[in-house]
This record gives sequence, C-alpha cells and structure tokens, in this order.
Amino acid sequence: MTLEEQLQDAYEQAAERAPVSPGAYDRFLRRRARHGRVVAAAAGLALVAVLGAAVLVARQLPQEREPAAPTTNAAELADRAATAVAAQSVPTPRPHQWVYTKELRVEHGGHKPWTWERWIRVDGKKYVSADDNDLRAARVSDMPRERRRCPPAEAVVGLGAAGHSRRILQEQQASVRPAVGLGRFFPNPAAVPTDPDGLLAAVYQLVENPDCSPILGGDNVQDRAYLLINVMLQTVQPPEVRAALYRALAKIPGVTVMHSATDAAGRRGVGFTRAASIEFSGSSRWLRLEIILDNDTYRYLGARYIVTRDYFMPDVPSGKGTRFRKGQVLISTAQLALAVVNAPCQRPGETTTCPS
Amino acid sequence: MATDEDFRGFFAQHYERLCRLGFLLTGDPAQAEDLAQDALVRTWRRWRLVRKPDNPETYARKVLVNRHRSLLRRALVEARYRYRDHPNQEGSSDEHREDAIVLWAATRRLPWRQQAVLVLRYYEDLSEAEIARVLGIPAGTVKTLARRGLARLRRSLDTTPQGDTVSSKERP
Repeated sequence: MTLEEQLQDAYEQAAERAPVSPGAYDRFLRRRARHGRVVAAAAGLALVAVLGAAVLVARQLPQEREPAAPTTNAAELADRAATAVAAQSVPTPRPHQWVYTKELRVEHGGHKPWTWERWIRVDGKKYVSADDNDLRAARVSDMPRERRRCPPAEAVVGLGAAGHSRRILQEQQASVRPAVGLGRFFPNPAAVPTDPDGLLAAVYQLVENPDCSPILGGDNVQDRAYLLINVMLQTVQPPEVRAALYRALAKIPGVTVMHSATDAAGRRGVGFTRAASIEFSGSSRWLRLEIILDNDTYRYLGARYIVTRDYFMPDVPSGKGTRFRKGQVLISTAQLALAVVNAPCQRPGETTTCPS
Repeated sequence: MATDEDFRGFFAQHYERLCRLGFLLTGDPAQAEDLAQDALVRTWRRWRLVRKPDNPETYARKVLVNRHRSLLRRALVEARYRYRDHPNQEGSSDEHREDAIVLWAATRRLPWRQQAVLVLRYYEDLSEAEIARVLGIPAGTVKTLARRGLARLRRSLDTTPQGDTVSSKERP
C-alpha cells in the first residue's frame, strides 16, 4: 500500500470516529441568531465613540422618513387590495398537486439576476428546486425536518395561550405542513381567525419565539410578523385569507405606503414598506422591505430590501467587509409565476418533467 | 424570500461531512462540530445576503479550513493531539486500525497548509484546482505542499516511536 493509499485509509477510519450529535440544526439556528449579535457588537465596539455622538445627534433630529411622504395610509391601500382580491376566485388545490413558484432575484454582490423555481407538493412533504430554468439537476427531495424546542401545536393559536406557550416548550419534530393556505405556517390553521385583528394576533403568537417562528431571523415580533406575511403572500391562499393578510399587514406598527414601487422585473406597482431585518440581528436598523402589489389586481408582484443608512458589514473569512450605501437596493425580487400544477418540474402550460 | 428549504437541504446534506473534515483537522469532536457550525453560519449569512454562493460547498470548506487556521494561530488546540496519545482509545487491537490513527495523528503535526492540502486531497478527494480555490493559493503551490507534506509524513513516521507499530506494514 502506498503512503497515499494509507493516508486515504487513515482519513476514512478516523472520520468514522467523528461524532455527529443529533439536534445539529437546532444548535445551528441558535448559533446563527447569536452570531448576528456578535458581529453587531464587534462593529459597535470599534465605533463606540463615534456612535455615542451619533446617537445623541440622531435623537435630536426628526426620524428619517420615506421620500415623498405618503398621502394614502397603509390601511386604505390594504382595504382596496383586500376588496379586489376577495372578489377573485382561487381553485382549491388537491393534496398531490404541486405549488409552482418562479421568482426572479436581483441581488447585491455582482451576481447576475437569476430565477428560482420551486415546486412544493400541496401536502408539503416533497419539494424540487431549480435555478435559472435549469432542470438538469432538479430532484424531488423530502422537505427537511428538524427537532426543535417549540410549544406544542395546540398551544399555538389557541389564542389567549400566549405567554403560557413559552413555558411549555417541548422537544418535537417540526411537522410537515401543507404548501398552501395558512396551514403552511400554522400548526392549527382551523383555529386561526380570518378577521384582520385576530389574524395579526395569531401571527404575532406564531413568531413570538424566534426559534419556533416559521421564518428565520427578525429583530422583534413586529419585524418577524412583517417578514412572515411577506412570505405568506407568496403562496396560494383562499381569497378571504389573502384579504385578511393585507389588512393585517397594514396594522403592523410602522407600515407605510409607497405610491410607486418597482419589482425586480421592472413592473411598477404600489407597495407597503417598513423597517425590516434580513438574516442577522439588528439589520432592521439599516434596512427596509418593500412589499409590492399590482396597481389594479393587487396581486403580489415582489419585494425589495433597501438600505436606509450607510452600513459596513465585516466579512469572513477574508477579513475585509462590505459597505452598504443608503438607498442601495440589496435584494429585489419578482414573483414571475404562482400556479398549481399536477407534477413536479411541470411548468404551467408545459409538460416538462424532472430528469429521471 | 424564503431560501430556508434550500439551505436546510444543504445543511442536511453537508453537515456531517463538514464535521468529519473538522475532526480530521483538529482531532477533537467538540472543536470539529464548532468549526462545522461556524462554517455553516457564515455560509448562511452569505447565502441570505447575496444568494447562494456559486459553490456553497467550497465556500463552507473554505471558511472551515480558514477558521481552523485561526484556531491554530491562537494556540487553542490543546486537544489537538488527543488521539495521538491514545491510539487505542476505542479498545481496538486491530493493528491496521492503529496504524491509521498514528498516521492521522502525524498529519496533524504537519504545518497547517500541508495538513489542509492532504486532508482536502485524500479525504475530500478534491482536485488541485478545487483545493487551490478552497485555500486561496495557486494550483502549483498545492502540488508542492502535497509533495512536501507526504515527504514529511514519511520522515516523521520513520522516526516516531509509534513508527514501530506501523513497521510491519509495507511502505513505499
């Protein structure tokens, strides 16, 4: 046996000894939440003197507002949108159909714009994902699940159980959720009210504990609720639920209206906007998220993350970093398609299939 | 904007392998997991902000080996030789197995770049070009480091006391 072969052999054998303990994803989520704070703290430390001064100044200045102060408030836009979508009919998907979404993403970092197609089976058990229209590597996969410490399903949105839920966290495997409607997000969708206040309360309860929230990150409950509703609007919903989602969205403190907003595909629409975080903690202090709707039909068009003040983010492993400029669009998306199809890898009106 | 399913899939697919890579570099299970977790947190941040890195697996490996280097630099590696002193830790009397552990321990005494090149080449099975990308060095340097690493390994095995346990094996 040559030394090379011995070495391969030795590595194989030694690697066998590497213990991989369960619950890795759970630990990962906690670590990730922590990581954002550490970065923020490190950056803060370097700038502590400057910041101290800046905070004082900021407090004396009027809060930064959106350019062209909105004349329409968020509730009015939500009403118009809710009325419009409530009148539209949406077919009820069957469990073994697939929800197809195609999203165009334009992202900071010099990447070319790219499209992201996904097929999620209506029962939520399987999914396929493909980049840039390329189905060659598309494979049907099981929806990944992890054990998490979360309130039992019946405690979430039993409403009135808030606060109580925190104490009865239990180790459990995240259950498979359907890909459509509120069932995608709520363990007990039948108990979720569809009046805007009740729905918003249910959303707050759902995202109260960041570890159990269906979306990752979020600086606080309102932030997470705003981010989650943005995601909720991207799947198939019964019209009355979608109407309630628009109205609930407008009730989140800080949500205002953009008269004109453009999605990643260049489609002009009207939008809600609010300070919102991206992955790491504290980013809602320098980012906002626009949720863009069609001007006439009020269907969901896309979203944009926009930098609201200059920010420097240290990078790893290079040790350099990235400077974000106020007004810069960090991520811009456009939902190019939302449809229910009969098979994975099938595009609406086409007969494409997954490679075998 | 939920890239969650995608990332969870990536996590599920690569976590174990990254742990093993970390373990081969450090010889310490806790540090190995720490490195893997850290690499994935950083990969995620990049993923979330600027889409999936072009090759997320390479990116995660790159972060992992670089973090390992910083660990070494900070000399936080008392456990580095853990398995060198206890080659029989799992009670195996299998001589072949013992040889393997001794050899592995010897790789961990190599200079960092040589160690990294060997593990990426002989465990991860990467090409020279891929290793060059992970370590951020020219491909020619990868070749040199691998050659030096193997030569040094050969020498060290011939001179270490544990060398006796491998002497029954045929050597190149």
